Amino acid sequence: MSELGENWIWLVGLAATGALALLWDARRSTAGPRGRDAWPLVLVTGSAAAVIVIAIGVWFVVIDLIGAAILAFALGFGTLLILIRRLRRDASSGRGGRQAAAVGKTIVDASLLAGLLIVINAFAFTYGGRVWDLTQEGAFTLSAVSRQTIRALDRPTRFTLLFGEGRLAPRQRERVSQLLELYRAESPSRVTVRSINPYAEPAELERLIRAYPDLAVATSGVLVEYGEGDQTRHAVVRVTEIFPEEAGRFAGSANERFLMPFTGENALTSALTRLREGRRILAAVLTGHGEPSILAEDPNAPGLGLLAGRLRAAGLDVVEHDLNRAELPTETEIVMLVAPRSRLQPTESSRLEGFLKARGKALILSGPESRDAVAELLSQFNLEMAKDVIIDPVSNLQGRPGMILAFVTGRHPHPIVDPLFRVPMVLPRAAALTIKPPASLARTRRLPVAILDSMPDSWSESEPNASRVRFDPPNDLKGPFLVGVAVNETERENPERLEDPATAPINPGPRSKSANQAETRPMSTPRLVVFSSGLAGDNTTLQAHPVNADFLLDAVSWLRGNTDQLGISPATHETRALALPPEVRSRLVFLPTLLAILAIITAGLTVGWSRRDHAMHD
Amino acid sequence: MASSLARISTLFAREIGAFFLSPTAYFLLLAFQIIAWFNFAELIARLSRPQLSFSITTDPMTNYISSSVSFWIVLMMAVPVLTMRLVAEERRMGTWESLLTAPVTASEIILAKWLAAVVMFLVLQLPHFLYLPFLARFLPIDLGPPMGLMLGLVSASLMFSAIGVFFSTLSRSQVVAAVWTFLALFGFVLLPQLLYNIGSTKQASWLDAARRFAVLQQIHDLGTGRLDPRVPLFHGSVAVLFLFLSIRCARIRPFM
Repeated sequence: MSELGENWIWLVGLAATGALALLWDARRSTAGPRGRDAWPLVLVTGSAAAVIVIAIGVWFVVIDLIGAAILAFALGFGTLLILIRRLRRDASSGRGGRQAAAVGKTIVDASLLAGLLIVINAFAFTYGGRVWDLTQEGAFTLSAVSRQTIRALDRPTRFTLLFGEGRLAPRQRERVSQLLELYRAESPSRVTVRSINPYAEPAELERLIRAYPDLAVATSGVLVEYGEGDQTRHAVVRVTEIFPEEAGRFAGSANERFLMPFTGENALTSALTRLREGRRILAAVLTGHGEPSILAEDPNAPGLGLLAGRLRAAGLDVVEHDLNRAELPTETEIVMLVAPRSRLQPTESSRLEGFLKARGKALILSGPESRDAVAELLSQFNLEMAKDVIIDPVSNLQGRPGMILAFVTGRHPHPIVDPLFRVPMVLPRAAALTIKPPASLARTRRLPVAILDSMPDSWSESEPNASRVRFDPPNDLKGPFLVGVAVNETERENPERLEDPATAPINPGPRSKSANQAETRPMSTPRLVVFSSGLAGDNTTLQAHPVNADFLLDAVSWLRGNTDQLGISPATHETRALALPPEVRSRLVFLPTLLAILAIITAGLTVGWSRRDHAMHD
Repeated sequence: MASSLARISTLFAREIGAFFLSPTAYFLLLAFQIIAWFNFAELIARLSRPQLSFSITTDPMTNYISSSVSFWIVLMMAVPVLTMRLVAEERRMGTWESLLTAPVTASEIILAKWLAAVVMFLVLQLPHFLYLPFLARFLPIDLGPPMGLMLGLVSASLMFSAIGVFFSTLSRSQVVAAVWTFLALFGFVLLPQLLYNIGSTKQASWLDAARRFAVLQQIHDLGTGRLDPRVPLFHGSVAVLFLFLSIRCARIRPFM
């Protein structure tokens, strides 16, 4: 808390000793005939010392050592009052010149006033400070939820901004800093904020990643640490949760409006709430259909142990669950269905459907072997899976055509894959996914969007187990194929004209001040992510290609993006450019300038002439 | 109380009249008008480019005036020019002592001169705000930031004028008063900003304190539409202290 540690005791003692020495010297040195000569020096020194002691008291107020502050104030003001009393005695006895007396009294009185003003300002700056927000967009206003959450913090909370040196990083950092400054103002004693440049401070980043492994997948964002030492809980809020549109967008007929949606308050306050409540997200991996186990942790053997470990490091609780035996726990937010070998029983289907209808989320990793097991579930989300295995002789892992590489090319921008641009996902024994035709998506609420394709050299192999695999049209179809899909669910049925669900805004909530809002669009919630390979999350795959875990973590983050969000509406900052022709711009600058200069010159000349006339008449 | 106010207003009118009857006022106004012209031209140039601002703190409108180096330099020169003659000139001409013998108190004289300096300072800021109605015809303007900026300049003017009046009271020479006022403004305006800039690079623990007392940062924050009432409190406190000193020093022989 205090950089001084226990040294404040020594500092106060030193100040007290100095003040007492000055006073003793004042009494001694002014007692005799030569005392009057020393008195001005004593006066000035005493006043200065008193003000310094008061300033030290202010420092104690700032670092929350009120007891020491009171002691320092008592010393400082006491010294000044003693000097004032002595001055009055001198004045009444006629000692010293009038000028000297006046100067002395001025110095001491001014020191007293300065001390009082310093104390008032110190308390105001330390304990006061409700800022008035004059802006239309409410840029300096926190929602009531955020204010309550921050004031209720009972442990030190540190926000660490992690923004590098990219094109957008400085502006992102500035915007997030502006928000966190408001958080800090609500609770200066609990909230601290710092900023790290991951490129300039790699050692510090390394230290943080060792402490919080899930930080490794965040390219930039905010690390929230709640508590201290072993009791610290943390959350990583990624930049995609803060800036849903990374670079904003232009609007208006001449693109004169620039809109920058900002969901930072929602993301950070939600993270704080989650940390305070100690809530963890439960991910249930379904079992009972021949799925790999999360308990199998051997990286060279089939299983989901490695994936489960990464998910736990990201703050999730990962458990296995047999839907045949019981309903899903109420705190389950995500269900994972990985390479089931047999169909779900009616009970299981019913329970899973109930979970999904109650706003649960699902991640499916399934290839052609599990096609029949997941067909019905996929059809509920307007998806179909082919039975053939995708082969790629060019883009594959370690020369194995069945382990295709699907690169993020930017063809399907989506929050899940955007952070992994140009990075491939390995999909062993993948199948092609198909989104139902647009006509049949009218009046549905579940809207799938493509997020990942296989590469153009791939094809769907009708005989994957043949001794020699080759492209045999017409049985084999040429790629690229859809291998990754994300499904949003909208609040109302999709109209005849198909909306783009990938860009639909996240549910807004009430704001305490009206703000510029993006255009009204149907609200959507992430519901399902499918990667058409049952081995995409397997131990052996993650061992060979660890970045697959990043894709899956991104998918989980996107799915759970809204579940623990508090519904604080996004703040959209709008700036406008001046779309005027150059000649109009020039007139806009020169006309008022010319008028003003003429007015000033005219006024000056008028005054000058009238003074001259006046002088002549005089 | 009423008669005291009447005396203050009479003295105030005398000072304002003296200012606007002198050519200094119009030269200063011209200087500020030219600075305002440059600042506005720069604002128009920035607004004419595609806007990519993520937050209000980096908007061109909120950085208008408060981020202008030329504005602050001219301001730091204008305040001494405005205030140097208020008391020092009267002392030099010998009219100060006769003013003190008039049925007015030293407090009333100092307050009147200070108020006149505040008004003169604010009049010099008018050119900057003159352009905004013209701009508003073509671009919707959020009035919050300009209002915050105006409030910031008003409270800063209280402080700067009080400092100028104090040094004018201490000195017989206008030049000496002007130099000391300039140095004091340098200490209040530029020194904390320098410390803040140094602290920013080191993420120093005292950065927060430096920021709170850096006048440039205060005015910039007010110019973003963020009105922190502690800032006018701070400016007012400094003004009260220097006015108190001025009133006390009014009856003392100047020693500069």
